[in-house]
Amino acid sequence: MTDILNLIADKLYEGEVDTVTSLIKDALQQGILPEDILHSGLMSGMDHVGRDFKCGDLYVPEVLVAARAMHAGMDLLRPLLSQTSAAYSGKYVIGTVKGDLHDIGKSLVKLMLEGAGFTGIDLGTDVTPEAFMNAVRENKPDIVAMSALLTTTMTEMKNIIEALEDANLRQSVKILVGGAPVTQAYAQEIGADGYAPDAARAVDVAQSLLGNR
Amino acid sequence: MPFKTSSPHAPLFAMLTPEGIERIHLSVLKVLREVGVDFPHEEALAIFKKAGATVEGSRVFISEDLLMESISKAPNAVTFYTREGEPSMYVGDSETHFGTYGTAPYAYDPYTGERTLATRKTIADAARICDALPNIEWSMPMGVPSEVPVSYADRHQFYQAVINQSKTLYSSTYTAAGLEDVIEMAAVIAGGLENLQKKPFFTTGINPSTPLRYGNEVIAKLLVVARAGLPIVYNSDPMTGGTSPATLAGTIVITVVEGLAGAILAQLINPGVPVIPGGGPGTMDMLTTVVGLGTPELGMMVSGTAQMFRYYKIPSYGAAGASNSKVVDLQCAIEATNSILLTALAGSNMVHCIGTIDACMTVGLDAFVLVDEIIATTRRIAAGMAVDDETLAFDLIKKIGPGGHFLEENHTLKHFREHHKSKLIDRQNYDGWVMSGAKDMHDLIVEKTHWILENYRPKPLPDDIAQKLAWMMKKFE
Repeated sequence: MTDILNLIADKLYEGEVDTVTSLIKDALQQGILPEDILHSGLMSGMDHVGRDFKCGDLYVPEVLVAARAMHAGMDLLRPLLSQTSAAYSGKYVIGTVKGDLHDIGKSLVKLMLEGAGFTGIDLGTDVTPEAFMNAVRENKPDIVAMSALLTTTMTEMKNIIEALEDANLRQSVKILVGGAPVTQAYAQEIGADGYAPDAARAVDVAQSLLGNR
Repeated sequence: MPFKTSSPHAPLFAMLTPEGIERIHLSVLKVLREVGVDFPHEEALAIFKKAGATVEGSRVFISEDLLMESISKAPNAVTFYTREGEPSMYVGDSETHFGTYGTAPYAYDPYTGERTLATRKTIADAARICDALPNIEWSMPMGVPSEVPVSYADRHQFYQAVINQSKTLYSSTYTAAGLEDVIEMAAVIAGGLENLQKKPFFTTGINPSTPLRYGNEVIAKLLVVARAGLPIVYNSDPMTGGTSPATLAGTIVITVVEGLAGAILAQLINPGVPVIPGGGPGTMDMLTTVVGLGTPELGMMVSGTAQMFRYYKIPSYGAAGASNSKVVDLQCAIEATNSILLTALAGSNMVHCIGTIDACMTVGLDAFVLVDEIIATTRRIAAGMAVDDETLAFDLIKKIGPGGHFLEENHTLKHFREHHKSKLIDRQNYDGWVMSGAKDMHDLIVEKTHWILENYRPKPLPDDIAQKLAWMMKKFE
């Protein structure tokens, strides 16, 4: 049993989506519990990816294909997992703030969050405070993540936090900010809960804000 | 690891115009014919005389015919091997292979920074560092061991290097007897002289006493290595304004004449023996009279010299990656980068001196870690870029369209690793850098140097060979 689970972890590490899904089907047929496949296969592979990424042996595109394999595997397992044992890291709402069309950094954070088991909504770019507020109201996320690349647009982050406060929604979420001009000091100044200098650390911060790790 | 055979797109930089090459060639012919080169060695003079050269005293005057006929016998490329007999470097065409330098009298302690006389341990440590660094393709024993009898230092240099690394080794020797001993040891490793000739992992330098003169003992060494049928490197080290004209073209003429004259003698002794002439033409610093090895002029002259020897269809020896800085610092990085990039783009074939600081007077192990990184960046540039359907990626551009991103594409996954990446080059933003310890590049270089010293173990020699070498070394204690 451990052989096939190790193989799933290895193939996930290599980003081989098709192999991962067919191995999961084999494992299920052998009667291995979906919980074991999730933890000793998929999650174990993703942990390996995370470790190697942190020490610089693996790069963003490789993390993203591994995450793709993770998703494909989760799509198979999700219906079979009991609610409590499902891999549920948290729910996010993410967007680049109003006036700012920069997409790549925000998308990267989203992809990395999903790779770590988060699910959520991407509001895109040029997102108004109202749109953030509505998304929070409708989706009840754990994390609101905002990005800005311009010094002229990063001040919008403060407006969004104030809008959430005015609507009594601020306490229900953790706020994560990032983007090239944003700093830890600025994040504190505007009352955000977390700041990350890059997409990989954004996942760490999101997990620690939710007390996952 | 070849620079260019793997890449048909490699750009080739030309320091000299075709007219410049032609004029230097004509001047080289005139110097060989009208000025001559001194070979104060009876046997060498007799060989030249027999071949038709004009000999007056110890001076040899060489005609164009003798030059062209002799060098036409020399191979236009040499393949070197590792100590284990695996092919390691194709020295020819416009391929570039970087190696280190030798015979520094001092060394820095890699932990305390204290500068002391070099010892056998200096050579052993430097050999292990260079063995571990992938972009350093060949090396020399670095450091003159101060604790052994000076007349046997060359045997100890070879021994300490060869037991601590597998890469192609250029080992300096001080006497013909020293060279004979070293060749004997190299032959033991290769399984006989014939095997060593077929798969040379070892070479040595024949250094003229610039300008236009070879010393008696150096000529004796030339005879030994030519007769042994092993590749011969000629290392001219003129200094502009000191031992050669202050001008670059005039100094290239001196370098080329010395190399060709030595190469002719080798072809007369053993036709077809591989020769690799060239050297490290430096500048004399007119404030201090110290030789400038990190100067822009060095890279320019090595590039021009490489073009000249390609004109003669023989591989060239060069120098780059050296600095006059006393420590690994900004000066060191600038000087090493300029010359490494320039000589790689110009296709100098076998380039020594990388990791040199203090103008070859002191061994600093961190310098090798720095130049290994510089060579890695240079490799990326020198390989050039392919332009074809795959790299133009039209279908992908069409698929993603305006405003999309390429992060999750298989094409990205397939190609992004072609870009230069390094754990020594920090590309984090400010906060990320602070979070990871706010280390500058030298901090990371020192960490890597220590890591190699503490963890890297070179491939050992087979027991019987190691024992035989140790036994042979007994008489040199």
